[in-house]
Amino acid sequence: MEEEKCWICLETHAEDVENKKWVRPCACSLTAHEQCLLDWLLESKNLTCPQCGSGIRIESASSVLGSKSIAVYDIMQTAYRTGLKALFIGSVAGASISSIYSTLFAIGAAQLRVMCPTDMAFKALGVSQVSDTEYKLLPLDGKRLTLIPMIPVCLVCSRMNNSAANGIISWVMFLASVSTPLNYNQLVSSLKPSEPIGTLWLVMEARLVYMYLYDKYILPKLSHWIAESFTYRRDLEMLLTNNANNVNQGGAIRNILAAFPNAFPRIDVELEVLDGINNAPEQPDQDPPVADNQQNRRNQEQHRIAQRRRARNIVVGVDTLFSMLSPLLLPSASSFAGNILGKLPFFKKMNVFSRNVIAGSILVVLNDLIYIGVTYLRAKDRKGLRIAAYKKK
Amino acid sequence: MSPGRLLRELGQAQNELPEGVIALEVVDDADLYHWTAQIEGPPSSPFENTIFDLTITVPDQYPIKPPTFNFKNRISHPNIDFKTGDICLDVLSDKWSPAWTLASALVAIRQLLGSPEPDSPLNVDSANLWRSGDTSAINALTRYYIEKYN
Repeated sequence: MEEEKCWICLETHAEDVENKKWVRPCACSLTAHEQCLLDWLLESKNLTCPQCGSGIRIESASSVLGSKSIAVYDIMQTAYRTGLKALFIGSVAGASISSIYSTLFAIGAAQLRVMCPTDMAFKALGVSQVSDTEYKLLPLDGKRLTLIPMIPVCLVCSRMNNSAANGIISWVMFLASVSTPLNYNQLVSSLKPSEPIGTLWLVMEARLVYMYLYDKYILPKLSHWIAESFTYRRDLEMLLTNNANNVNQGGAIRNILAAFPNAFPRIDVELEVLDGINNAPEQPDQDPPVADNQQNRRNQEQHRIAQRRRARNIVVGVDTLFSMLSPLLLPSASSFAGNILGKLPFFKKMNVFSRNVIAGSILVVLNDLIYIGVTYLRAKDRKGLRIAAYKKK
Repeated sequence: MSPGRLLRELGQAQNELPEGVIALEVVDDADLYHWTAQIEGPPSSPFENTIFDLTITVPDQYPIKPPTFNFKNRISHPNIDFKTGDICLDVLSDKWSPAWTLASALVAIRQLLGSPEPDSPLNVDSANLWRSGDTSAINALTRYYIEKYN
């Protein structure tokens, strides 16, 4: 008969000098040290005998209360750790959100103060003047907490022409117009163009028309001018050098101009112009020799990749960020311009806020006009350059 | 775990080895946790008449936790990683039980050589070949890698 041994550590009864406890936990012949078996059962979570497959029972020496306490402690420990994790993640997320929110709120409040006459700004910000020197902060309500941080957001949106931006502006305008609870008569009366909110509505509607006209009539011209003024000379020359034997220069330029999309987002004008050049179709009537074809295509492809990379660098940089954020300075400029506008007879009687809003709109249009004008001049200037004939002294 | 069990297994290995296991010994007498082994490819399989070297790493918690076996040389087999020599065998992972010993696990690995499980592959190319059932291709490829790396 084989000597009895622990099936886990393989020690036989004879070798067991420490006099450990032995168990025979099931119907079959396997024997084991109790501690070895417990180690295995607790690790494998499989309470069956590997030989006969019958179940092995573990008894707890501690009282029911004891084992329940351990279970409760474990659950609490897990809950505590989960809670700590949630607290950490939550506080980091909360801190970022609240810092963004409070920044927006501060900018919005400052812009309100700049745009509105003192009494109106105080009303909008929830400050009540008790006496000449004494002010009281009213508790902030939901409307102020929502709308004030949205002011800078709307300003940035105002210079973008897409449905999301338009939607945000419309909603904020709507919320700003209604009183709580919703009062139809008040809403209608606030929409009079002479009222502050009414002026804002009028300007925002005008903005939509302006953007439409700009995109339809001005952008295509603008992209031509940009292309003519600086972009195509430099980049096209590279394109032409790479494909010197198969692209006729005049044809290429015509192709490039034809390839300009009719409208693209203002910010991406430069990018689109470059992409327009890159995607210029090849001249169909001047096929290169077959042998060169592949090499040419490869050159062109590499060139395109390089150019596109350069294009992204130009457009998506600090300049783009600043051009997106520049509307944030509009209120200060508007209030300055509004002051000047106030000297004119027609605007003298108008309320200060509406005057500032109109002044701001004029500034925006002026800014665009200057940009268009300079772009046109630059294109004209570049086109007018000629190499002077050599003169003998 | 006490090293008692590994000492006993070492003594057992020096006494007698199961069929197909040619060698099973510790790398260094002072270290019971690193072993080497040699097994013979099972008969009537592409691995026939070849001796394969394996390294064995034994964890501290052995035999509660399974040891790790690796083929030393590259071998083309569905359940053996071509680069690392890792072996995908259920009794060496989730089906492990302390009833297994290093020697009996080597027998299981030897059996795996003869009858692969293409459904749980570590080497998908080899697994696809075995699933195709193209015996001459399996033989040719297996022998090619044996000649090349063994």
